[in-house]
Amino acid sequence: MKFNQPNIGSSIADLETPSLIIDLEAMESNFSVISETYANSTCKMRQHAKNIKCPDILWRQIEIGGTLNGVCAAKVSEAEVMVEGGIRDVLITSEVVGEDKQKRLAYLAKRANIKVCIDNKENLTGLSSIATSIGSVIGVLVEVDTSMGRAGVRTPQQGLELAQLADSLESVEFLGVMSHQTVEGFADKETRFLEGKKYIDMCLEVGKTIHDSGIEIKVVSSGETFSYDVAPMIDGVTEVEGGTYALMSGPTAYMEEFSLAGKVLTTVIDVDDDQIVIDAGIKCLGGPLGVKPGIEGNRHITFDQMYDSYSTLSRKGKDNYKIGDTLLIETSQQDILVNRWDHFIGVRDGVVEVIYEISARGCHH
Amino acid sequence: MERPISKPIGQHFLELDTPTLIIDKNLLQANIEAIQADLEKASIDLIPNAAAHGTSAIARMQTGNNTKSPIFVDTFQQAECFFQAGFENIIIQAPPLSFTKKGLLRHLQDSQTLTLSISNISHLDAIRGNHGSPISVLLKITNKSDSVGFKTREELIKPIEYLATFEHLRFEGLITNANEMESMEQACEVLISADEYLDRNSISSDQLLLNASNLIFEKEFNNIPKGITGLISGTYPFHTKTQDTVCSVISTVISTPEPGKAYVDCGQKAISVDRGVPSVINYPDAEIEKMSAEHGYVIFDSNKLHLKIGDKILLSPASYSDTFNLYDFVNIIEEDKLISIIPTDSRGAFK
Repeated sequence: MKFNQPNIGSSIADLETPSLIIDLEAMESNFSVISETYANSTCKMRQHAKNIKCPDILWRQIEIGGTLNGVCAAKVSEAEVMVEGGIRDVLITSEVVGEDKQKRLAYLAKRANIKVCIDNKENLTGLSSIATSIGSVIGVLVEVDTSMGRAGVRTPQQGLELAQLADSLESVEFLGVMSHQTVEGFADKETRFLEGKKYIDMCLEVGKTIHDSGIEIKVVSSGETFSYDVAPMIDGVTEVEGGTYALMSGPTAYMEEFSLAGKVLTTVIDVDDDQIVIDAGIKCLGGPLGVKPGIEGNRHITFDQMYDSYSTLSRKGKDNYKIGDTLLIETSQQDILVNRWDHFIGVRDGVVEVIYEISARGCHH
Repeated sequence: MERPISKPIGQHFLELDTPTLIIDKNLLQANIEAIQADLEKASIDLIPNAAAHGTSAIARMQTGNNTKSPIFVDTFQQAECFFQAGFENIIIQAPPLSFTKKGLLRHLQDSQTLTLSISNISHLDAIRGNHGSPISVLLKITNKSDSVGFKTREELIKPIEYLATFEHLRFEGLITNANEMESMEQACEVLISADEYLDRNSISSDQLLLNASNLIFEKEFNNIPKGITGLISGTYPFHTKTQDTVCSVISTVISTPEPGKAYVDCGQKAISVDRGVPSVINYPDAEIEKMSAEHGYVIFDSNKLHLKIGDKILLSPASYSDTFNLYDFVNIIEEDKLISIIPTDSRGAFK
């Protein structure tokens, strides 16, 4: 038996714990930042579905504005959930490998405008062959590795050769280039601009090489939350793949224009002079390789140990916490955490307003 | 919810849609039987931590289909899942502080043999109003690897006296959680010392339980001293160091951007790195460098190994418990063929 979901209109104080909460006002404020940033730009946001895995929430950003009415997805199965949720333009930001998955992708392309990144000729040829057999057309973008050391072409020449092949094949439409990058630590605005521009320029360089060969570049999909305001200032970038900004997380708190909207409500289940014990552990919070969450509104309390179903917090200052009190946990890596939950509870002014199903949870295929 | 491309029973396991979690049934059964036999010789009850895998089908194998045999879980939601699956003797490691949890406790206590592990005397106040069928109570005590519980043996007297004032509560014994292999011996000493202290105060403990749920055993349980009545373990079916491929995640190479590097379709959302990076099973010359949310970085000596797009990489999780928590289904294989797909019934039952 699953616990009953809370009633709409009930108080946050009455929620069972642990629960995954969205502060709706904070999330909508984040969406408004995007709307305002991209209002007068030809560059638009393509929000990444991998972070919140919920078409209803992605629709909220589309309604508020600043987007191109499409989203990114990490995997084919995640893209399917988005299409079923009514979103008709999806870019899959991972290479799709294997006949079975490519077939699934090709069928999805009969139902929606589907694009996927590529970095290998053999894989591209297979994709073309399968899409031809099924009678759909799949958009393709050359992935450029700018700094992450993972998938993606390493040189403009590699990108050009892939683009030329794509341009010559049936049932795939070459659209342009894409890249993903990150910045280390708490970066100030100047660093974000310098780092973001450096990486995006690398992606554009590949695009320019392809363009100079006579192949049209329609899409340059680059930039993410940390460079959301850098990318639209760079000529040629058409869309940004931001995801983290929706709910935010502790390690990205340096971007003060965005608010932390995703939190886990927990209950204090034990206390003593040195520690507080809460009913949320690794399984619901995650703590990838030692990165621990924070506590909202109290920097004197820090995570000490995380166990399967509970965690201990160190008390370094005076507080009056007692058994039964609740705490809000700020997430350390939001998309890893969200992938463990089945529902978001949307709260405004301390009242439950909406319950969202995280319908793409577990969609790692 | 997972959405793999479904494959027919009888399919070779390397043809399954990736990333996916697999268990070799024969190795699983062999592990379960071998460790049960060893512990029986030592007169120690083996209590499965069913929350480690969240799967009633595996729990049934662990208990020999005996629904009266005890299992251990972390939360009330998990207890309810296993109760619905037919288990009638459940130990829960959580205080029922909320109205809903107290209600669920009442339902469970009237339907089965129920044991609660508590770490604070005030937890007894939470269950004092739950009149009905008896509830057995374990007092949790601390050791070097777990700071949650009663910290001194002297602290145990008061809660035992307090719970004796309630007709429906019964002191069952003591429990401690060993979270590191190095702390096992000390944890056992703490339990035995506390029991001896209670004995001198004319209080007898029926159970002295060592909860070593996430430890990976080889033969360490041979060192568990006499007096410990039960070992709670979550990992023992999956890994005993001698057979390390009982449980693994299959991934597929999706990019080979540079010599010595392969990029696989399994990241932190499909295999946990909360307690360490996975290891590569089927290519001894390859290892996981790091994992992003969606993908894994495999590095290898390109003079010794050539990996190409589409190759399958078998990964052994650093934590089985955390990895089961990411999947809705487990693929059971026998002689390399898929024989069944079972649900992880209590996945996500955090409350």
